[in-house]
Amino acid sequence: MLKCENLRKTYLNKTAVDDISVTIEKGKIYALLGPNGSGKTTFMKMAAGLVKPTGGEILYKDAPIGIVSKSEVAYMSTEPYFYSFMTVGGVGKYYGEFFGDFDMDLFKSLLAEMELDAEEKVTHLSSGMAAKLKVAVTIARKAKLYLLDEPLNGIDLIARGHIIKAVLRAASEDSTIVISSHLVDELEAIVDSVIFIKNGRSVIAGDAEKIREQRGKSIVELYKEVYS
Amino acid sequence: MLKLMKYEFRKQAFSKLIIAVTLAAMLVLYAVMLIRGNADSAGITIGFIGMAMFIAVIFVAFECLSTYSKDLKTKQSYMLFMLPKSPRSILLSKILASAVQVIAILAVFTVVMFICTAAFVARFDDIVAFINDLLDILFNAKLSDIINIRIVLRGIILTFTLWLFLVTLALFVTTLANTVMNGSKFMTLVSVIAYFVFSIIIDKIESAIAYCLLGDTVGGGLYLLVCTVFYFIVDIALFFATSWLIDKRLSV
Repeated sequence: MLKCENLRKTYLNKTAVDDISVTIEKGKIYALLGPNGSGKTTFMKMAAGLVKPTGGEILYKDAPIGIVSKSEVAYMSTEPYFYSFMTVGGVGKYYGEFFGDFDMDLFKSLLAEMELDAEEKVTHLSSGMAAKLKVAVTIARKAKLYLLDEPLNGIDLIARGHIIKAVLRAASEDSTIVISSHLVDELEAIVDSVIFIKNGRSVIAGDAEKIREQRGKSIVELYKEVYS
Repeated sequence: MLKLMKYEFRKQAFSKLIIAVTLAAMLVLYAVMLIRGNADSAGITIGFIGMAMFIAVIFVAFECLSTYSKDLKTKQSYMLFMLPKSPRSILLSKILASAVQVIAILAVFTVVMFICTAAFVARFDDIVAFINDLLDILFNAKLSDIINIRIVLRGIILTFTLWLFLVTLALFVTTLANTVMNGSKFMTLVSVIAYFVFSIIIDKIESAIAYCLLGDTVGGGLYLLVCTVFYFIVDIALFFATSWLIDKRLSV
């Protein structure tokens, strides 16, 4: 579904992604793991079409990132990004107008589940509520590929359960989910595959169960070993 | 396209509110002057409304640039560049939204000034004579006796083409600076310098082409035509160059 070969992104004075070569397959849940500044966000933004690679190649269904991929890839940024004049309901309306796969009924039910008021202005939301809105509006798309950058950031412990439940609801044989997070222990139970990113490079990638068997360690233990 | 334009209007709504409030305040002042019978002050107020129209048009004409710059600098850029829309349609929606707002501002202020003038005549002069003169012009005089349509049309087309040049050049330079110097604190300064450098270079090219085609002739219908065609081609080139940059090089 998503294929990267020697992917690279450099800015004026920094290399954010040095060499990422991974293949992301249909119907799986991936954990994209790495510390702050390792290149996870830049990688996701390249897959979403927000950042253009400096070198290498990234293809969605064997075609360059573009209009088709944007219509099928749902990206959730870690930072707040909604227009400041919008209300919670207005964000859903915006997505509904531009994304053909957006399910308004699902969005409304997610809002109810997360106790978000559709009339509330996005600028009045707390960081936790804003995070929930981002998850709700992203998961309400019936996308083929979900890229969720730190979806559990700023979410309280109880709400995390709702988020993970919503994410699992989006998972299917036809869709793929890539989640980046520092909360490795929360993800370990739900992911099929893992990708470890260190200093802009993919250092370990593969089936989570196979990696656990080969290394004789849990993903959490492996995380500590790779990044210590 | 229309949906993109709708959100461009929404992003720029606050400035329209300021313009509306300012115009309303001026109209209230004008009404007070009329009621008090102060012809000089009422006349000056109409002049201020005319000045306000000029300032509002200039501001609105270029507000799309500040909105675009904000789109590129903040995370709100994701709302635009995540969409399954081509860079051309995104750019075109911005230009069209700006053009529609300029025309709307001109139309509203023109109507307001007409009404204010009619009210002035009604208050301080002979409104019946004014209406009779107006009807006489409308129904009896040939339009060509009043205005030269060809010159007016040429002027409008050239003005629009030049405005489009200023906007597309600014969009191009802003995109180029964000592409090359993303995150640099000198980005805005470099954009401004690049804007003037490109303007001067393009102006020199236009002068050279006009000289090759027309010799020393400056002014006149043919020169205006050459100028209009040249800048129209440059507008198209800048539009497609900016689209290419957004599609292949720009990162937000």
